[in-house]
Amino acid sequence: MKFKYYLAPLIGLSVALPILALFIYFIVEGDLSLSNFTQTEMLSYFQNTLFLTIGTFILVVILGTVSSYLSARFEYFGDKIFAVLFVLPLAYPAYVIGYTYVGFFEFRGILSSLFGNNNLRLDVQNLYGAIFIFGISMFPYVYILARVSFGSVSSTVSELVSLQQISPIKAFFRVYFPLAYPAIFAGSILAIMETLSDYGTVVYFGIDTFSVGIFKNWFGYGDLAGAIRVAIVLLVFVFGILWTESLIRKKYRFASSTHSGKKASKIKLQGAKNILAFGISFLIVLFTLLIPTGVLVYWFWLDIDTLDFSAFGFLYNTLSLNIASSGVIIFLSFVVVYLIRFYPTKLSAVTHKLSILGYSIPGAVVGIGLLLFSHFIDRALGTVVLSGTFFMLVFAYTTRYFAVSIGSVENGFSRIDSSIDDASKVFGKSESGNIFKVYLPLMKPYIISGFLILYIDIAKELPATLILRPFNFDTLAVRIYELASNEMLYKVGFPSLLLVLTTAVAVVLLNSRVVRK
Amino acid sequence: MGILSKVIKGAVAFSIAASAMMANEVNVYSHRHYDSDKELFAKFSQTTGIKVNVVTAKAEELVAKLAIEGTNTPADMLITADIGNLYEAKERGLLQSVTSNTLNQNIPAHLRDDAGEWYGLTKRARVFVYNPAKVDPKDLSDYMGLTDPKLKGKIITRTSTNAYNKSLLASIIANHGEAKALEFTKGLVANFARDPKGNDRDQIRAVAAGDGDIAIVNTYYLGIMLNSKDTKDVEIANSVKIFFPAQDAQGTHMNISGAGVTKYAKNKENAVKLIEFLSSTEAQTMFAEANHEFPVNEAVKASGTVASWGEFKEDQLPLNEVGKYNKKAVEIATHGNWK
Repeated sequence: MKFKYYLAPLIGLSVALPILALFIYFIVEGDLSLSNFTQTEMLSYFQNTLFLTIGTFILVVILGTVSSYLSARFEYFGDKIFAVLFVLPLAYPAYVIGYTYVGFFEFRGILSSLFGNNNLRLDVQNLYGAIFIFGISMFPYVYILARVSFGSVSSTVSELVSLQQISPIKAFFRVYFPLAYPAIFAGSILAIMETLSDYGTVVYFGIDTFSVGIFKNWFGYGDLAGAIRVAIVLLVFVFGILWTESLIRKKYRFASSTHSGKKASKIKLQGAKNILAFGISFLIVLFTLLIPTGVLVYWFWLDIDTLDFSAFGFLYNTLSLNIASSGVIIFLSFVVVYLIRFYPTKLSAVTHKLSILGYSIPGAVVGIGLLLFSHFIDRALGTVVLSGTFFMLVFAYTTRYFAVSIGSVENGFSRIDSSIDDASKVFGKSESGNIFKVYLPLMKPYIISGFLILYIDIAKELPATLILRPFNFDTLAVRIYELASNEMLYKVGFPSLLLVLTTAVAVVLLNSRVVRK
Repeated sequence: MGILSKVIKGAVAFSIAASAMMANEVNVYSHRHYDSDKELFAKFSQTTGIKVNVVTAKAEELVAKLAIEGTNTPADMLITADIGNLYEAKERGLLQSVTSNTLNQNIPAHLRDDAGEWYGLTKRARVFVYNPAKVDPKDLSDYMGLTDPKLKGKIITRTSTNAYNKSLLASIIANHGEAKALEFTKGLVANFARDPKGNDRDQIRAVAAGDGDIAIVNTYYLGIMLNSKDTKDVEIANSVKIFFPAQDAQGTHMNISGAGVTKYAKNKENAVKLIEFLSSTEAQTMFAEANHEFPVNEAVKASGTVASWGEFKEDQLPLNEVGKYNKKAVEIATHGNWK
């Protein structure tokens, strides 16, 4: 029985292994002196990352809150369609949105062609442009989580608001926003983590963030110690964010208790208000979804007589790999969260924190860390067992996205009252019986939504896949990268649309009743 | 734990079986991601019966991967899109010496390693692209000429971390020394029209848009744009002109795409055969036509688009020199504030 206390720490530690391997390697092999390293550079990584993070945070909070508030609290023209469309930007990798906006706004780009005016252009390849790209591609994280909160506001609260005759805007800021704040914050944390780990978009936009700094030091200067220093500062940055988040979550703990009872009904908007709600929703969808999709369709059209149908083979690879990895990861998360609930130890609390670090680390760094680890194992066994196998890819995705699935599962478990634990202990036949008859059914929506979010994230993953995949195994994301690095943007249209269609299926499922129940 | 050991045993058995089947194949790590390369590999398999397995990724990452894998590496061959990373692989002892009469015949001496550890497959010229309405080509000379104060606010290029810019700067160090290279960097940065960003295509577009007047780019990007299906790309590429720098000096800086056989290659013979095939007239013609790169094999002509730019003098500096100064180039670029 005792092993159950050690299983969660063991899994947590395994998940963090690629990152730990990297740190150990850096410390053993790297020269940790302060030479070859300028303070000004670190300062510029810090400033750029901070600015990008704050900007993205503000944008995802605004877009996510407005969209979720409208969608959860009001009935207006097109509200049901918008409810789905608001989630769909999640289907796009940020770098693809980046390409499309450059193609749209560049000199003699699509915008200038549409209006027949060659001077019509906007330089988006800068920090503000990057904030815009990350904001519009990540806001659905906030939307998805906050909509549940806004939607479960109790009728008592809404009656109180109408009795006090507070204006809708005041009511929003005084009552509803504080109630949904934990969810909004949790969603924006996901968005920020993704932003921090991005490499492709920031490099293309010419912004030196921490993740660019890691690459610059490691590969550019061949300075391992420099790279680890940047990585450590990045981790401190991440811990700072997570710590702030946990403080705020504690402060707003009361929020969940008000969410019980009868749900408030939606308010039907009429006249000008109806038009306003529609207008705001349409603008959000225009910039986050219609323009990027339109650009891809246009490129697809340019390329139509020389389409490369091998993309369907890449689609198959993407699908099979993703479904398998997402399954493994969600299973492991369930095991860990279950064990931490019933067999908690101090050690598991620590390894739990370690296991979610991968989410903020650039995928390529996770990939290299895993190479180091697998090489160590292969050398110990005296033969190549791990390198270039699917196992490695699944491992890398686990390290990279464990935080996402564990968040989902924890969220689900936190809604199961401890009295159920007691009851099942008293009446349940066996532990496994309880898991299958009590916990899994209760957790179903959270497990499915965790699986789908993993599926979407992994489909878009590029850097770790690039380094770790077996020979002759290309995914759609890899294919898009290859075509884009060839600098023939229009060729990106077809595989990007295929990728988006596959993730869009998951997004729509995520939005369906099965998951939202 | 029983299951785990079974899985490990199974995996070991599988990998042994897999390596037994590897007899007639060659495993390639490549930074080149062109469809024409895939066609070339397919053609090679057709004629020789040797299967080509490929993983593409960034060159820096592939070199790191090779270094970590050591003797266990499955890769027989490394292909990079620039000399810097190829030289780095050689310096780290990741490549091995190959002697082949075919390769010596097909590839000129300055485009291959003296010890036979790497061979150039295509040449890439780093040139200026300028706006003919604003720049008189008479005012352009060699790379150092870009530091002339009268070009203030006119120069456009991508970041110094880009492999092509690194190698260009390294070639300046090799040709003129470190002090001159720093002077070049500082003068260049002082003349920038905007912060370095985007890829080569974006630099060409920026010149056409009037954001600056002169950009440093590789020729084949202009070739690709001129042959694009996006008519706007074609118009933009037609609105700028190419200038081959340093014609009165050492000649235009030439980088290469190149290949080497890895130190611990399990299929060395096949790898050599593949490099030989890639240097053949047939393969070189395809490199030239599909991607508008310059063939290294002197028996092969450049594509029509490339030929239309005319003959020019190439820097014959042995590329090991460029490789040697690549790290120094990064230092100097940082020192000179080239982002």
